Amino acid sequence: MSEAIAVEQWVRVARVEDFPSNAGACVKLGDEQIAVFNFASHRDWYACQNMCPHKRDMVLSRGLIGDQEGTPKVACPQHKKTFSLIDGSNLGGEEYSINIYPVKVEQGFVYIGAGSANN
Amino acid sequence: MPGGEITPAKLIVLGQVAQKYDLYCKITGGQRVDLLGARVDQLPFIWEELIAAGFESGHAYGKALRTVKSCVGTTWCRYAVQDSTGFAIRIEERYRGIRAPHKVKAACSGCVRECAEAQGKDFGLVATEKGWNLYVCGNGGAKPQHGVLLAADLDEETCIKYIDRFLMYYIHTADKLTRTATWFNQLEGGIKYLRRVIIDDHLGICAQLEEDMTHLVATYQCEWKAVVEDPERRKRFRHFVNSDDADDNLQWTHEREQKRPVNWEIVA
Repeated sequence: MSEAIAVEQWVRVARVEDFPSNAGACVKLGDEQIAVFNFASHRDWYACQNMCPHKRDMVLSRGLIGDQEGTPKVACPQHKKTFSLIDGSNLGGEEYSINIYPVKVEQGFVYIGAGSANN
Repeated sequence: MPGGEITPAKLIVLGQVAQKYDLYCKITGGQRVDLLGARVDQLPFIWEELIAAGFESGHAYGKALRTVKSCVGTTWCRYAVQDSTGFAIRIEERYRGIRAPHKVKAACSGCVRECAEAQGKDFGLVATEKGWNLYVCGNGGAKPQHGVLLAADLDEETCIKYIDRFLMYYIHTADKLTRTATWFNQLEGGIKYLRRVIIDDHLGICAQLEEDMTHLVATYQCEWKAVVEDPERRKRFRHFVNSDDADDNLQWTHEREQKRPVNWEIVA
């Protein structure tokens, strides 16, 4: 996950059961839209911006998730642009990338790390 | 709307729903009506109204049977020799919702003039004086290809039997995302082999293929009805899991008296 990023504040966004298993959902954090992914089969959670930088639609939370040689990734549902959920890099080689966010689960709630260097 | 047939009352409902939710309307190539531009949170409400009016999901979002296009047939056309609309509706209601390696399109024409373009479909029927000619593995799209005649002058029951077998054989053996035309082009032995499998039961699998299809037909359900009626599934159709707000990033403009999304370059 994203322990390397310094988190200034954890924001509780929703209950674990509000998120589908092995898929994504979108949370509203202030004016931001953040895609949160529950890799239930690995008991891992990841978060990134909801906007796909390719066409700027708010759709990544509805993307397909999987892994590419061990790296968890999301594929945009529009044109299948794929991004690493570890560092936000573009796995298809295009120049645009995405922001990722720290996420943690505690006592049945999902928290997003805000005020970090990454966002 | 199976076969593209729709009553005036249902047509009015489509217009009323489109007006209420400000949806872009277009007649599709498959004889349906596009209602585009709904937000994800509006979908269950829109479908609730459509289902109440007697509509069901058209599965345009799935790798599934799409439409069975038809002409007006003997009922309205002086040239037609069979009831193509009636048979198209029967076929669409039999195979609706069936998932396949790729989308499946079909058509049914009332005479050899072929107004429904059945020879450009995954399976197509063209009426003859004696019954129906069944064409398979046609395709429009990027690499157009005419369907190949599987059998001629069939009665309706035999058509259904062969289509059952054909579709299940395709579903069982085609690689994912392979349309019937591509699958056929890779099939060793071509149409002669396909005829042996589907008509002569050369592989001894036809009873199983028919049983598999009977199961699919019997277990059909309208997926949107299932969502509308289930509060848990409806929850998936919110933009945010932690807010009832809609996506405020959507930007629309107007063109030819209807709304449409702005071009993405303009968004910057």
